[in-house]
Amino acid sequence: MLLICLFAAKPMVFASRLTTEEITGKVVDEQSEPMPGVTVKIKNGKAVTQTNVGGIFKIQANAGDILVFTFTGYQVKEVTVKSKNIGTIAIAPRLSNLDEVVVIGYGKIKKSDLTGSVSKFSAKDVDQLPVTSIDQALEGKVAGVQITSSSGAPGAGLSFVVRGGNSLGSNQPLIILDGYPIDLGNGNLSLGANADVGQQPGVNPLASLNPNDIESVEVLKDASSTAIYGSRGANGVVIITTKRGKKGKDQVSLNYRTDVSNIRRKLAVLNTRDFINYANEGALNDGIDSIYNAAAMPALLAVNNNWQDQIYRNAVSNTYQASVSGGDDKGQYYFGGDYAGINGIVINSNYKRGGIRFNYDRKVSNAFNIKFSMNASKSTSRLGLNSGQTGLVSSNAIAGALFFKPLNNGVTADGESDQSVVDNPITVVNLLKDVTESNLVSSNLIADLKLAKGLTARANLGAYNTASLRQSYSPLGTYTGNQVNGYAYRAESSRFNYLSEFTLNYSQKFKKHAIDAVAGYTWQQWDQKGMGTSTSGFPNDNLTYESFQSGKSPGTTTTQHQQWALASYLGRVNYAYNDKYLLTFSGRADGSTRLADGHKWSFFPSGAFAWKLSDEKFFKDNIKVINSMKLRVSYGLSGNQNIAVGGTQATLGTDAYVINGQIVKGYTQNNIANPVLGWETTKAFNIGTDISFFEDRLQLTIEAYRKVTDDLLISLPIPANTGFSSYLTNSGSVENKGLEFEFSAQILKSPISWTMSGNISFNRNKMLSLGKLGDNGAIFGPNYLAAGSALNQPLHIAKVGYPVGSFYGYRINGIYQTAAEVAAGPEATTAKPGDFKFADINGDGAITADDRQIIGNPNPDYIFGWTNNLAYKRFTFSFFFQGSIGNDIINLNRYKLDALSGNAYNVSQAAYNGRWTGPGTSNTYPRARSSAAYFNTRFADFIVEDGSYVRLKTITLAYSLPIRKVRWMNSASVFVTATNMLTFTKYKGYDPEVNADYGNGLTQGVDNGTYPQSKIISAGINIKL
Amino acid sequence: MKALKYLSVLLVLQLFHTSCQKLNETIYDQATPANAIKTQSDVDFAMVGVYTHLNATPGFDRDITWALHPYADDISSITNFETGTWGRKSLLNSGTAFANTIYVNFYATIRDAHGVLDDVNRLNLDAAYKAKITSEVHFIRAFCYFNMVQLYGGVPLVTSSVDASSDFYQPRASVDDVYKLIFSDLTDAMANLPTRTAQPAGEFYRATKGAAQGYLAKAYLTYANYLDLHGRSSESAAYYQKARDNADGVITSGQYQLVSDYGALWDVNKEKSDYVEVIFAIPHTRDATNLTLSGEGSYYPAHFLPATYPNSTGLPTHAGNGFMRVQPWFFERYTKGDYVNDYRVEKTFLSVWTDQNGKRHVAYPLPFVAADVKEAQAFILKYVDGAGLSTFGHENDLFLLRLSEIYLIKAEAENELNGPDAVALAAFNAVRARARLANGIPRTAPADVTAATAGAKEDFRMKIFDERGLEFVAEFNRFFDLIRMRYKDNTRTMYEYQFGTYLPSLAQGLPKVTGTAWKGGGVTEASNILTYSSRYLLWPIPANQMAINPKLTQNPGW
Repeated sequence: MLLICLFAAKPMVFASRLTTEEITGKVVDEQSEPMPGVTVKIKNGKAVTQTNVGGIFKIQANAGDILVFTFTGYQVKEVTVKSKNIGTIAIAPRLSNLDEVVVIGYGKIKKSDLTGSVSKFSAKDVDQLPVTSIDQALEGKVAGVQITSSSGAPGAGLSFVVRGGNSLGSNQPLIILDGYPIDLGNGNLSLGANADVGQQPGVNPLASLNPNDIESVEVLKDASSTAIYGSRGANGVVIITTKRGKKGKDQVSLNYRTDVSNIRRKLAVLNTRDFINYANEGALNDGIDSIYNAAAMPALLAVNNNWQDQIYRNAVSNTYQASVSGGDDKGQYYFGGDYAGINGIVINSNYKRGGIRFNYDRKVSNAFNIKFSMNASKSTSRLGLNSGQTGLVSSNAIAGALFFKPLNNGVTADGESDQSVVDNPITVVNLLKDVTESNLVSSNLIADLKLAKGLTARANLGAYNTASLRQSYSPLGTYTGNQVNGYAYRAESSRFNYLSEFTLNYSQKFKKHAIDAVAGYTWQQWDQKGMGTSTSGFPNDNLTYESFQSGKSPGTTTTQHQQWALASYLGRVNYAYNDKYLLTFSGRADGSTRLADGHKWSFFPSGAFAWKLSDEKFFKDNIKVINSMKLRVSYGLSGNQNIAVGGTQATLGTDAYVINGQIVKGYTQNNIANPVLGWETTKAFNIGTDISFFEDRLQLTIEAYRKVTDDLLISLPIPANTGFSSYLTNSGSVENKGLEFEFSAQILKSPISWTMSGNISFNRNKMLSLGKLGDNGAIFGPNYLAAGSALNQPLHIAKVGYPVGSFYGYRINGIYQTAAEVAAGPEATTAKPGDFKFADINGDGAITADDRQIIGNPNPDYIFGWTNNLAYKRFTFSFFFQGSIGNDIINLNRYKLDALSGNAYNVSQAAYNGRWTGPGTSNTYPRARSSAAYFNTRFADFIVEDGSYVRLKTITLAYSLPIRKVRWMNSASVFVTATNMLTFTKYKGYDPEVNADYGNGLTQGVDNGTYPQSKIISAGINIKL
Repeated sequence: MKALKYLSVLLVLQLFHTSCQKLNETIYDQATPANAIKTQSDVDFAMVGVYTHLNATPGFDRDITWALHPYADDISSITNFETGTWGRKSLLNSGTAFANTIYVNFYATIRDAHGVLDDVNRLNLDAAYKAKITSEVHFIRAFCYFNMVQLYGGVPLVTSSVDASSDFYQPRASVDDVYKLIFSDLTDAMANLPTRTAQPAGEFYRATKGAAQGYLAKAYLTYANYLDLHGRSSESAAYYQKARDNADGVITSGQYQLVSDYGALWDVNKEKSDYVEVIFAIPHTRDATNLTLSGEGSYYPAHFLPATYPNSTGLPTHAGNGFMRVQPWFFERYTKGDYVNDYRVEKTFLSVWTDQNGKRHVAYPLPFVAADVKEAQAFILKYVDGAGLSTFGHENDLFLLRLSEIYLIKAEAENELNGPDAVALAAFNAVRARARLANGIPRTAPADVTAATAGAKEDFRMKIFDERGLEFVAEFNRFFDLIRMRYKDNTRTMYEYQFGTYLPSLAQGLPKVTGTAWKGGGVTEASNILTYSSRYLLWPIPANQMAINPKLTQNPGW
């Protein structure tokens, strides 16, 4: 239709024909900066050129010809040639994203032709944000994607959940990097480690990738998009595309950013005077003599130490980037290098990464193209020593700084860490060393060979290799170090996988029919080797983990070697009729080494249909405000393959006993074999619409979905009389259903340009069935605060009818005020006035484990993000709000801080100020007591809090420097970004953005001595040469 | 077109690759029964695997002992030893972690024992070897069920290996049925296990015929007590008889004798020679390869000895943590009456000692001088190892069954049958006679109990109770004695008497020094003591076991 109109106009254009001559001009962007690489073409003619670095072009044209200017992401501009120099042409970014190309599994597609649910995130301007890994930048930017930082530690992992957790295990999506399914994880870096050392959270594997090398990220959400990844697709698929060279002059880009971080807030704990008062009152309440007597008071009061002041700092981080890219018709290259030195707000915590990337595209012949991508990086992190589930202060300076009494100085008179105070946070941050190094080398080659018109064969071959080393030393002065006279631990892990993938693509149009199909075979194989070893009994702490030979007690060395592979056949057909009715069928058959014989293969099909409603005549004729509208519907299956190697077989472990004075190893059984174990399967239904209003000034995407995950892979708790605690089996189902809205709008165009985008997602998670366990059954999460921390209970439960990982514990109904009230209660013989009044839920007159119930939900009611970008002349200004509403957090720090039990640790100012001191004085906080039995060792709703927050996540001001006279420079801009400046929350802990045990669907929403988020001010400069 | 050639080569390679790749799984780093247990010596390693659970963390290496000591009336845990609070009854409920870990660990032991039975049945082994291993499996299984039936009452009885097709959900068996299995297993174990002296050195610490018969005597006695306490006294006599006869069988077997110096039992350097008396024990050694809790060393010196007793542990300070202490009333009892000048009191309790700075410490109720440090509580002196390697790296074994207990079992069973007759007194006095030998310089205390001093059957039972209290303190007996034995009124357990009547009669709180004398306060460490309730006679069935197995029923009161 459009085409016909243009042809009709043609004769008029050619009305005054002139002779061909060289026309010149300059192309600039909306900020009047020169635009290199813009394609300039004569409409309906052959001549084509590109602007140079200065935005200048020259083309042979006739007066009256129409020049067409195109550039990816920008509106097409047409200018009629009137004179030899047509002057400066400004082109503007495109408002609509409908014709942008979206990367999907095994292909690309125009957004307008998409039948599934895919969100695209453009990584533009990521260099202005203090992010260590690309997933941090994604937080709040994509509907249906919930990203929560596990902690504020540099390089820390994130929980990355697409449309709610399907599994009781890991819900991390599959990551595809430039067509290569990458292997997340550094391997087991705590093999054979003792409890404290083994508990440290790992480093985010995505932090090995330089976020500034990344061009875009696509998140595949519905089954139609993910089924082509078969047994790995159920948690969503994240496709990361790195930057590649473009035709045109070589371009050098240099970026520098510095970040200054500090703690957002400190928590109020008691000073020395209050602590002494508290401890003595507690003793008095329990009929024990004062802990601190009057005579000792002056000496005690001389020390008043707030440990938080001792371990937190203003941390300065620096990030340097350089890239060179360019190319011609035959080849394009991108070379990037970076170094990031990120310092955490806890003394000595840091993350350093250096890396290079080389991407090369070559047109070998008209029929043969190759794309090569290579990445090598090295990172080193010294952990900020935050939480493990045991919550021991020996490896947790964050908790230690809250819990340690104000009576001790952290340092001795000569300025050294006071190692006589066991687990002193100063010792932990200064002398306890835990350093992890990771090396990543990956490369892959994609070769395309055109076999016939529309038919292309592709080979994708590559390898991905990570090698990690963890070294840890616990000196004297830490619990572990004291037990064994210094403890050194070293773990090594190497993970290698290779991919060998062959696909055929067929793309053809026959009149009104368009077909785009892909089919292929892939083989991916992984090999993982690991080792963990320790030594203790060191003469001193001087050489730390560097000299195992100086320890007298070499520990057991544990080794690991696992191999697994996945063979797959995959295919997809996209069919379009009249460019209005779009159909997609896709499927993948996965065969895995990890499943038992006879059950190795499974098939994951999907189908989708889309209708471009706005292309129908009745629509066009009647609805003017909507300029495009598409309806989509899809249904399909995908899987989750979290089965350990050997999971279907019975294996033996070893343990030792003393026989005749010698240590002898014996065999013990590990598990019950399950020969019918299979993948869990997610069936997902999605319906969505993409609507564009007011000539694309407002675009809206609405999606609704329901996913049911069946045959959950669970470690089914079985009665102990079997000899085992659990049995790996397929049992139960989980439902996730939700609504997602995404919009983008151009509010103002000029002179101020203002674009706005946002998203809001609602997900409801529910356990539908526990299969063999029955509807009254339950699966509990792990025990928390084990060993010396004395809670030793699970916090989470999976129960039919409730969200997975709901919090499960006791309820407290205020405080017993009088002896009569105690006598009438369920704990008449054990409680005293001033103690917590635990609720007797089942009314049996006693507080037992049966009085536990669901007391919280880690899942938010909704999450949202809202971005505004403003541009005026040389200034751009953007701010981004993001939030999570309705989720609960277990603030485990308060288990010790708020129970007012015992004098082993400090308590919170709020609990102390609000404590019960007699009838009517408090119905919230209890009396002070001398025993360390916090909350009577019960996990109660008292420490479950509303974790809702809304936060001004980032605010950025950038200025493009006027450097037109600097000939060697193309552009230069400076920026300032503030992160986490404003937060609205009622959460009492350090920060509501916390998820200590993010790796598991059953353990969400815990703050347990977790490294807090910081406020960050960043500033930097970007230069293009 | 060169490219085409390369690509066709690749495609051909890929086809080849496809047809060759098998999806077979290879497990490199773990053994499986089929590939690892093929010969008789492999079966021995599997049998050692069964024993490993006994000194695992949830077993006797930590949880059982940490949990049971403060649960009884003789030892308390200090308040700021957080894990010590585990054992406090006020905090015990069915959700308490160790209620489960201990339960699970016994069944894991039984599981691996059954695995060994599968192995011997699968392999073509020598019949005698097969019979011996089967007997050993039966011993371990009976040992586990005997501990469980005392702690939890009737528990699900599993007597063969469980696989994916088994019914996982078993109900609790009756107490009678559990004992029936224990008796038949131990009887079988006696048949084919080697005697102590016939046991090859390479099996030392594993079960013997004497261990099977000793436990059989103990199980018969415990079951007879159970019948008496449950109004079935008419049935009990037969079991007292069996208890007495089997105890006598061990005594007359010629395999064991009492170590002449009671103190030598607690000298780590003489440990191996103690095994003429020790019938079954949890072994420990200074495990240089693993200084942590999971290593093969013991933690007892670290937790039982105070920080002021130098050169006694493997901690960096070479002193202890003092987490577990003796209840003042309990130590006081053994400073009076029959026990004045009893050598065992000196070797059992740390009550007077000199610290690192040369200061003398004196525990209640002993006399002191002004310069002394006054200690409200004495400590346990049975586990001392100055050459220990770490907190958890001590040599001290945990003796679970000694010949002296066999004598006292014989005395008690005979007393229940026939009162304090000559047989009962002779067995009882054998233990006292050894105590009098002291360190080679014989003493007069403790005097023999005679027909004149024994009193009635019930009085003599109390003497046996007290004798056991001293002889076996911190040897994992006190709690079981409390719930097993009847007070002299024959209607109550000793547990009920102690916690319901005796301890509440004492002034509450730790003793203190006022001026020159022990005064004020009382003789109990009140925060460890809780009013008697009948529910404490059994532990709770773990809440998570209740949650996953609908066929389980909870013990009364939990």
